[in-house]
Amino acid sequence: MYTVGQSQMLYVEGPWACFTRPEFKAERVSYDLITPSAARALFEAVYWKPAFRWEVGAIEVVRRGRLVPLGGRCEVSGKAPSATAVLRALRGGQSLPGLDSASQRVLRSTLALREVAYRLTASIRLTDAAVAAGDHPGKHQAIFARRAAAGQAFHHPYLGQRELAVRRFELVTRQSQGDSAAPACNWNEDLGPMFYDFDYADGATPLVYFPRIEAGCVAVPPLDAVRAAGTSAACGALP
Amino acid sequence: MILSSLLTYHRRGLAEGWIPPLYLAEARIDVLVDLASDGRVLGVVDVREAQGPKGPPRGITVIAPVEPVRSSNIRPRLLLDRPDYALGLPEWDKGGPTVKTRAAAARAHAAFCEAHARMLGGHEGPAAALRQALAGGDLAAALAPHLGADLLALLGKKTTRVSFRIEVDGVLELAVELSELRELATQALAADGGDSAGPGRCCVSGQAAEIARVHPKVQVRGVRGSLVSFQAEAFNSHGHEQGGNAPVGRDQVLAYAAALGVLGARTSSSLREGQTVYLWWSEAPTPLESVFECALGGRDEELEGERGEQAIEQALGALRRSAVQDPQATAPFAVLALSARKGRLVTRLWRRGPAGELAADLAAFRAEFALSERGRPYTPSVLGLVYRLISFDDSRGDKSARERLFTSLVPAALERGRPLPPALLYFALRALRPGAVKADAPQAWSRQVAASASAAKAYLNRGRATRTLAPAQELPMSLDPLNNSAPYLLGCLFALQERVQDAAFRLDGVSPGNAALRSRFFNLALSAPVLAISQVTPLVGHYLARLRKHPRGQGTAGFLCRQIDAVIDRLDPVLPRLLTPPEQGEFIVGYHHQRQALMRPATDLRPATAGETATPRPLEQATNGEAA
Repeated sequence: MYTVGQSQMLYVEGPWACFTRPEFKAERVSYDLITPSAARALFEAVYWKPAFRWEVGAIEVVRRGRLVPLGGRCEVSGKAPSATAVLRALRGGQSLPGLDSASQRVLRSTLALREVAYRLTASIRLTDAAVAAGDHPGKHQAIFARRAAAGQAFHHPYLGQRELAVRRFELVTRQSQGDSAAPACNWNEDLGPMFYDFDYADGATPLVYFPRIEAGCVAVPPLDAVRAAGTSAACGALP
Repeated sequence: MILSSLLTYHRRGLAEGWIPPLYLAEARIDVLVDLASDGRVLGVVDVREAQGPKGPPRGITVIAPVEPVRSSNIRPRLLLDRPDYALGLPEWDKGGPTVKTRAAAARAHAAFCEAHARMLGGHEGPAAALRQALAGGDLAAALAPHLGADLLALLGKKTTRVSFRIEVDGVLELAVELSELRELATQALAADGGDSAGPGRCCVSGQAAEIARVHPKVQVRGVRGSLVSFQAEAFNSHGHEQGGNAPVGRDQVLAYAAALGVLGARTSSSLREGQTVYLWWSEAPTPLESVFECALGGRDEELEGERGEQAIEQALGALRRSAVQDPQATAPFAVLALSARKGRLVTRLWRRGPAGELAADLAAFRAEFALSERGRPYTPSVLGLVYRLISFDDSRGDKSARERLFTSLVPAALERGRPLPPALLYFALRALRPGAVKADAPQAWSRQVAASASAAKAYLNRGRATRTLAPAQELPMSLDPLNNSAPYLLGCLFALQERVQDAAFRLDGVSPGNAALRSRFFNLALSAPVLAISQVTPLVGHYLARLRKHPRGQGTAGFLCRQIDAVIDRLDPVLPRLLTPPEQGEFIVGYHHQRQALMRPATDLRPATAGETATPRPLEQATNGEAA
């Protein structure tokens, strides 16, 4: 039974990116590198179904960008009411809950990355529902490849935050030329503990991994390895 | 990475002995309560000392158990605390304590006594003395005979800090410095789960740890706030609250807070400009730490002057040239800029890299600002340059402009590939606007021109290197005889014409004053050079005629004529009617270079030959055929 598909490679570039550090989510500071979670979101923007999940395998940094302050942006200190709360109010004949942005306006600064470009590798891993139905990853790979080549997406891909949209994304093949085939930058660093993704199998448990970037490339361990080994899952450079 | 880098610095500090161990921090004591070995109160002493003739008195600095994070709850500090906690004395103003403050003080003191009773347990010695003193629960009553009006007033303030001295073998010892009490306090704090959000995995160290619920406020160079905080609903995700949103271990929180406190306390590792504080540290020993502040443009008494400049250049150069394996060159060096907003610390800048790489970037940044002053290289202090460019008056607008300009320069100093902010060129041009410098202050004018030329040169050269400006010739430190750029040559020409006027006036022993060419025509030459040339040339001709008539002026006239001819020969026949701001920057650099070249010693100047005519070539060609 094939539950893991072949790797797909996607090139993305954007003028701004902010992969928010969890400890600096109030006054945002971005990680220096795209998180596997944000990389997964880029693939999901192009194509996703509950039948599978994307598993990021590698990140190549074509342009690492530099941290630039975005200054104070007007945001709100509260949260918009959930759909459940709105429906409950409607059914109960109560006044609709709302968010008064004027009274809850706060300035929040952001230290974001400027001019980034990545080449991301991910593969499709079928979920239990798809496996039970006898699904095949090849079908989803083909759909993804067609959609990515045509520039189709369910929503505009973004780099960490919705308002920091991707300028261009492109499916990388052997025939790719130009920016999407540009070599990775010369960057060697131990990045320390970094947010990996949420483990939705157990609520929303944040997972942490320790990437080491060599020659601009990071090998991202699979979710099972990070989950099982906890934070001792070390990462090395691509072979 | 910020927190993990601070943790690495904390570990280095622990190993080298200049950061106190975990659960201990620097603290201030204003009042000491002296206790006998059996717990009796012997006296109360104000231990504050005056800081100079005008400074307010300040308490003694000790290493004490850390202050707990207090929001609206009652949490006593061990061995040292506010008067309401330590003694049960309420806070009061002119009207005296109120019922509310008395009740609050009683509750705080009860918590203080209970915490110490738990900590001190059945231990003997100084622990027993302190336990005995607090056992009654009303220490204030025992202190009453020892409190005068001054002490009462001091103890009525929330900012006062009180601790104890205990008699040990006939000698009064500070309780916070007694090893057995310090050990007990550290153990009590480590075991305390009061501010814990439960066990979890720290996202900074990656290890399992007790997660901190709330992060403390940190004060660095007067800027206070929490580096990590989640005090609004929008910051909470997935049902988590406070520290659960980004689990950081309690020990790690204390460690990074201690590291920040140490960095902020040292002027050699921190700099405050306006509302922004810059902190820098190295995770391993490196010489960059000692020269970073002065290299960036701060002030360091040991590194000022020419000798200091050489020391900085040597340190930066050595790091730049170091082998890749050299630990001093590969030591990770970090720079962090923070400012406060609504009780939080906002990160304005974060840069971390090998010390050798940062040293190379910093050296390149300083070289971009370097100019030749009287034949010697001079690198102005960047912070001093900012103050020189934006120093018209002390209005609030200028102070914030200085802070913004410096804040935008620091990232460019740490990264060679980043262009300099356009504001630098703007202020360089603005610094020479009419009225910026008094007409009868030639030295002030020279300094202002040097500052503007330095800033303009750096901006243009960096723009050329980063390809954000159109390719142009790189501007060197001193006069470039091969630079045929029109704006540059026009600046040289104006400097020569100005010198002609100066020489003519000096024959009579006076200065041009308000009639100086720079006062009347500099800004016109800067923006519309063709127009300026048409007005200045007849005046220069008149001054040359005066020089030629005077026996002491003929040599000068001949020399200056040759210099002017040389510049005109290199000028393109078609001159720009208006100069763009980058071209105006080139003009200022050319003007400064030519002025400096004219200040060279006389041995460098070619003497005038007898009988040589001193008439400059007409400028009709240079002005496109228009009458000069």
